[in-house]
Amino acid sequence: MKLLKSSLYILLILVINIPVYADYPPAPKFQLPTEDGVLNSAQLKGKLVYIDFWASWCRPCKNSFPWMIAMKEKFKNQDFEIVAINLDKDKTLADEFIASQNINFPIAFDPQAAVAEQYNIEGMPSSYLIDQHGNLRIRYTGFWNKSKNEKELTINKLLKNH
Amino acid sequence: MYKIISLLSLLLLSACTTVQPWDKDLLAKPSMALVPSEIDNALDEHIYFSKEASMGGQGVGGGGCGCN
Repeated sequence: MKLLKSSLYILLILVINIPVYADYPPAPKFQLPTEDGVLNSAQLKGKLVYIDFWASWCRPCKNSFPWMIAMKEKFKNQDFEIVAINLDKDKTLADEFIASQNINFPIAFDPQAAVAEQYNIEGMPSSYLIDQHGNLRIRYTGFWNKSKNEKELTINKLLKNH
Repeated sequence: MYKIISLLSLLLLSACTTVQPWDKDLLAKPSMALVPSEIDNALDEHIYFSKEASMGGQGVGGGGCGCN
């Protein structure tokens, strides 16, 4: 009886610890102007997408650009895309910063912050990893040098697991 | 009853609002910092310390942009 009781306890602990494979929520769809035309989120389907909400007045946002440029370069032969969504109300301020960088990914403009609101961003910068099925996988608020490696590993993992 | 109504009216009068992250552009300007000039502040602090024999108690961390 004692053995049965202990076995039941162990079984209960095992059942409780089974990981829950939750479905990831679909990422909000968007259509925003870019320098070359319009960017529709539907165009990005099938790719792992790193979406970054930024503004020219936010220093950590600007600090994240060299890393994003390096990531785009590193994964250029894979189904990976970076989209930087600018939230400046005055586009000329963003243009000044964009001109100072060798940006190798699309920049979309959302001066009304309509898409930022849909994504429910909590701080600047806010970034999201959207998987190849268009689902939101990971959300990052802020940009720190110490978390760059972990982010890169996550991107690599999501590209490989697909 | 009168007290409850007064209290509820006071609550309704509160002007608390959340500043969204994308609306913090003005707050992020250097002129909006609580200590806009480090040199001026250091001089003021020095004079204050000399006169009052106490220092500190000014300013807060962060620039107000809500970034970190």
